[in-house]
Amino acid sequence: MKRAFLVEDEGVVALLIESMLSELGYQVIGPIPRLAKALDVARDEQFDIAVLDVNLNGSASFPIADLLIEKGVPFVFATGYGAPGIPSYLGNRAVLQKPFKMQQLAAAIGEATSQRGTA
Amino acid sequence: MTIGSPRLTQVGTLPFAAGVSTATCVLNLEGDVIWVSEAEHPLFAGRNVVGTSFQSLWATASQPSIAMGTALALQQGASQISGVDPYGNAVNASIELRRDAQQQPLEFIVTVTQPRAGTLRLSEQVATLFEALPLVAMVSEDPEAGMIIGNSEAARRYKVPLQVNHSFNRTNPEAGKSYRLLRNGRDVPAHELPLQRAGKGEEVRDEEYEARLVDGTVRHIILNAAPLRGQNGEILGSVVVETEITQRKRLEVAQASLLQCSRVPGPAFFAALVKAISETLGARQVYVAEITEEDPRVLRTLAAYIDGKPGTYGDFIPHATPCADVVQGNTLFIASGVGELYPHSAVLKHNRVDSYIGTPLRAANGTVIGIIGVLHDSPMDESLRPVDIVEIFAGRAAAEIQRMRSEATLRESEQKYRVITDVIPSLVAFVDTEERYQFANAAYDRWFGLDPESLEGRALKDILAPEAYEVVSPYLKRALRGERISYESCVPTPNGEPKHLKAEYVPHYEGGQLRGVFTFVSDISELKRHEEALSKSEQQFRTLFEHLPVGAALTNRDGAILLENDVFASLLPSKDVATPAGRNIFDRSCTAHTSEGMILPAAMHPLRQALRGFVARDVELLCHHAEGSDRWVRMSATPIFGDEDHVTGALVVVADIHGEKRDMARRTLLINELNHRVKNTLASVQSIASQTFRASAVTKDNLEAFEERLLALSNAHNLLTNELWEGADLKQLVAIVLEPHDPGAGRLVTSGPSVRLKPAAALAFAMALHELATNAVKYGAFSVPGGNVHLTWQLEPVPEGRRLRVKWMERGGPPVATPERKGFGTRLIERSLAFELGSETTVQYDPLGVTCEIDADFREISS
Repeated sequence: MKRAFLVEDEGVVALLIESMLSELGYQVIGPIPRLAKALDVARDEQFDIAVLDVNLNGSASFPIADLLIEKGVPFVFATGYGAPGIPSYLGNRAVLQKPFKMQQLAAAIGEATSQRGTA
Repeated sequence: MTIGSPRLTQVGTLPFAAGVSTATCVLNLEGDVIWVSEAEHPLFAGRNVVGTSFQSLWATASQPSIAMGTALALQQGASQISGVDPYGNAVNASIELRRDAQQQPLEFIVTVTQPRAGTLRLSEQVATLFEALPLVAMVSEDPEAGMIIGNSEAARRYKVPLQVNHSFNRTNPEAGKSYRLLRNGRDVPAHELPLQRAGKGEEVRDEEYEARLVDGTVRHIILNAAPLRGQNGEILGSVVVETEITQRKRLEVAQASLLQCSRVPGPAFFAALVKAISETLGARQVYVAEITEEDPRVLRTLAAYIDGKPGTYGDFIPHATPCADVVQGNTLFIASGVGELYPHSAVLKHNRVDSYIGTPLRAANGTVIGIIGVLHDSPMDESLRPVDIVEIFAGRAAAEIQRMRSEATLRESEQKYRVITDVIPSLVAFVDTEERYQFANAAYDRWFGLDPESLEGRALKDILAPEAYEVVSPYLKRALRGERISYESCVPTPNGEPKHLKAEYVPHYEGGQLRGVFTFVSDISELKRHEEALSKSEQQFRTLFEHLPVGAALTNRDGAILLENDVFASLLPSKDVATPAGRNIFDRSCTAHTSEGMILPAAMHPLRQALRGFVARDVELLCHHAEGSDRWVRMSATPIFGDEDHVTGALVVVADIHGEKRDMARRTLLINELNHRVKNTLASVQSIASQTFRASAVTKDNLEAFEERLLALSNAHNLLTNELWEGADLKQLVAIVLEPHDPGAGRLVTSGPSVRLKPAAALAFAMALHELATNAVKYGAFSVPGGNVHLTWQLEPVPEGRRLRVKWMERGGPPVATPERKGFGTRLIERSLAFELGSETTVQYDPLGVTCEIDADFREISS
C-alpha cells in the first residue's frame, strides 16, 4: 500500500484531506501540523507522496519541500494562497488551491508523480 | 663797386666807336631812303627806314637844311649837313649825287658820321678793362653826359647796339628811348640821373634803381657813379657802374608774394601762387596741378594764371610735353626752343610756347604729388635763375597740397566718425579738459533737442540739468584726471521721468597729454524694466519650482541637471553634486520598471525618451539610495524644444510612490492573507459538511453538489483575489466557472465583450452560472451527446445608461418540462442575482431547452 505524508496545521481540513487520500488508496502518515516535527518525519519516514500545507502556523513549509527534493520524493502543495504564494524555484510544482475536490487532489498527485521522472 | 676819379691818359679812340659810327645810305631823288649800309646806326636803329623820308629820321635837322643839302648836292654834286639823331646825338651827313651813264642824276649817296664819337681818349688798359668788365659800365664824354658810351655788357643787358649813345639829356626824352630809369617807382628826371650828377662832380653811391626796357624787361640795379677828371682836376666826363640785383630782387618779391599767398587759405592759395609766379617771372602761363589720387596719370589744375588773369587747364594727362617729364620727378628749364624739343605737343604749338620751367611738387616722403609749370612765348633769361624762384614756390605748394589732402582725409574721417556716431542710439561726445563739448552725436538732438553742432564749445554745466550735472560731475572729474570710468546711474530728465543710464568715460591722450574724455552714455531704463520683470518672473518661477509637491528638474540635452528642486534632489540623490557627472540624471542609479515590475532596458529610461523627443509618462523607477534603502519613484519626462525643433533639454518630474508601493504591497499581502483564511475556512466547511453528512441520508450526489457549489464560489474568489478584489471580468469569470462542466467539442459557445463586474456581482454571476451549468450537465443539453449551450451577453444603451443583457440558451438536450417546484438551483439563480444586482432574471423551461435571461442595470454591477 502506498504511503502519503500529510502536513497540515488545520485540524478540520487535515481530516478532509486524510479521508480523500484514504479513499484514493493511500496509507496516511500524519497529519503533522508543525514544521520542526514534519521535517523529522519527512527525513525519517518512507512515503510515496507528500501533501504540504504552505503556512504552518506562521512558518512556511518550504524547507520540507527542499528536503523532499533532496530525497527525490514527489509532493503537492495545498494552500489557501494559491500559486502566487510559492517561491519561484518551486513554482513548477503541483499546487492545489484550497478548497479542492478529491478528483483535483488525485490529478495533482498524478502530476507530481509523473514530474519526478523528468525532474 | 665804385670807380673813383682815374687819371686818364689819352691813348686813342675807343675801338668800339671806330667804323660803326659811320653809315651809308642811298636816297632816291625825292629824298626817300632806298638802302642803308648799317641798320644798326643810331639814326636808323630799331626802325625799318627803307621807304621813309630821310628827313623824318632826324630829330632836329630842319627841313630846309636837308632839302638844302640835297638841292646843293644836285647842283654841286655834293653837300654837307648836320643835325641831331633821335637819341639826341649830333650827326653829320655828307650828301653826294650819283649820276647814271647819261650823266642824269640817279640817287644820293649819304655818309652819316657822328663827329664826336671816339673823341674820348682812354688809356688802352682802361679801355680794355672797361670793355671786359662783366658789369654794365657806361662812360659819358662830357660833363653834361649828353652822350653815353656803354661797354659790351651794357649793350647785352640793355639790348641796344654798342655804339648807341644813351643820352638822357635831350629835348624829346620819349623818342627812341631804349629804357627808363625809375627810383622808388617814379621816373628819374634827367638831371638827377647818376651819370649827370657825377658829371657835376658828385659821387653817387649805391643807389637802387629799376630799369624798364622797351620790351617790358625789368632790371633791378644798384648804381655807383663818379666824375672823370683831367690832369688839372677838370671834369672830363663821368662813369657809372651798375650791380645787377634783379635776381635778388625777384627772390625777394617771390618771397614776399609767397608770404602774401600763404596768408590765403585753401584753394585761394594756389590762385595767389600762380599769379605771384607769373608776375615775378613775367611769364604768360603759370599753373599748379596735383596728381589725382584716383588716377596717377591725371593732373588736375589747382590754379592757373594765363595772360594776366586766372584760368584753368582742368584735368589733363600730360603727353609729349615737358610736364610728362616733370611728373617723373625732373625739374626742367628750357630757356627757349620748347617747340623743337617737343614737336608733337599741340598744346605747346597752339600757345606758341618757347620757354618752359617745370618743377615737381614732392610730398614729405619724396613722392611727386603735383607740378608747377611756367610757360612763356619768348626766351627766358637764364641768368635770373627763374628755376630757383619756381622752386621756392614749389616747396610751399607741395606742403599746401599735402595739408589739403590730410584735411580732406581728416574731414572724410570726421564725416565717417560723425555718420557712425550719429547712428549710435547712445549719447557719444568728446568733452575737453574744460568740461566743454567738442563733439556730440545726433543722439543729443533726440535726447535734448539740441543741435549737436551747436553744443560744440559749450560747457556741460550749461547743457545738463543741475541735478543731472550733480550726478555726472564727480565721475567726469575723475575721468579728466585720467581714470577710465564706467558707472550706472539714475538721472532725472526734463520730462520728470528718471532715466537709468549706463555711462562710460574714456580719457583721450594726444602726444602724452590728456585732451579730454570720450563719453558714451546709454539709456538702459527699458533694459532695467525688462530685467526687473524678468527677475520677478524668474523669482515666481523659482518659487513655483521650489515648492512643487513633486520633484522637478530641468536638464540639458545630455541629461545634466540645470535646475532641480529639493524634492528632486532628495528622491534622486546625487553621489557628487560638485562634479558635472554628479549632476547628470543618468548618473543617479535608478532602474526603470514596467507597471508589472519588470526591469526596462536603459534605453527606455523616460529621460532618454524625452531627449529623443518623446513624452514619457509615469514610468516607475527603483532608485538605489546611498544608505542601501531603495525607493520607488514615478517619473515623467517632457522634451524641451529649442529653435528648429531640436531637443535642447527636458523637464523631468518625479513623484515619490514609495508609500503607494508599500501600501500596495501591504494590501496585496492583506488580501492574500484574507484569501488564505477564507479558503481555509471554505476547506473547513467542506470538511465539516463531508464529515457531518457522510453517514446520514444525504446522498453522495447531494454532497458532491454541495462541494461543487463551494468550489465555484472558491474559484470566483480566486479571480477576485487576483484582481485585488477590485472586480473581475465577466469573460474570465465565465471561463473559470464553466470550464469544469464544458464537455468540449464546441458544445459550449460563449460570446460577449469584456465587462468589469464588481466583486459582489462577480460572485453572484459565478453562483448563477454554476447552477445553470450543473443543471445542464445533470438534466439538460450537456446530459446527452449533441446538446449544446449558447451563452451570450452584451451591453445595450438605454436612456438611463446601459444595461447588461445575458442569455443562456440550451438546445439539443432531452425535452424539458417545467418542474413542479423550483429547486435550490433555480432559486439561487433568481434570488442571488436579484438581491445582489437589482436585475431581472427569468428562467424559461422551453421544451427545446432551458433559457435564462438576465437583464441588469450596468451601473449597479460595474466596478
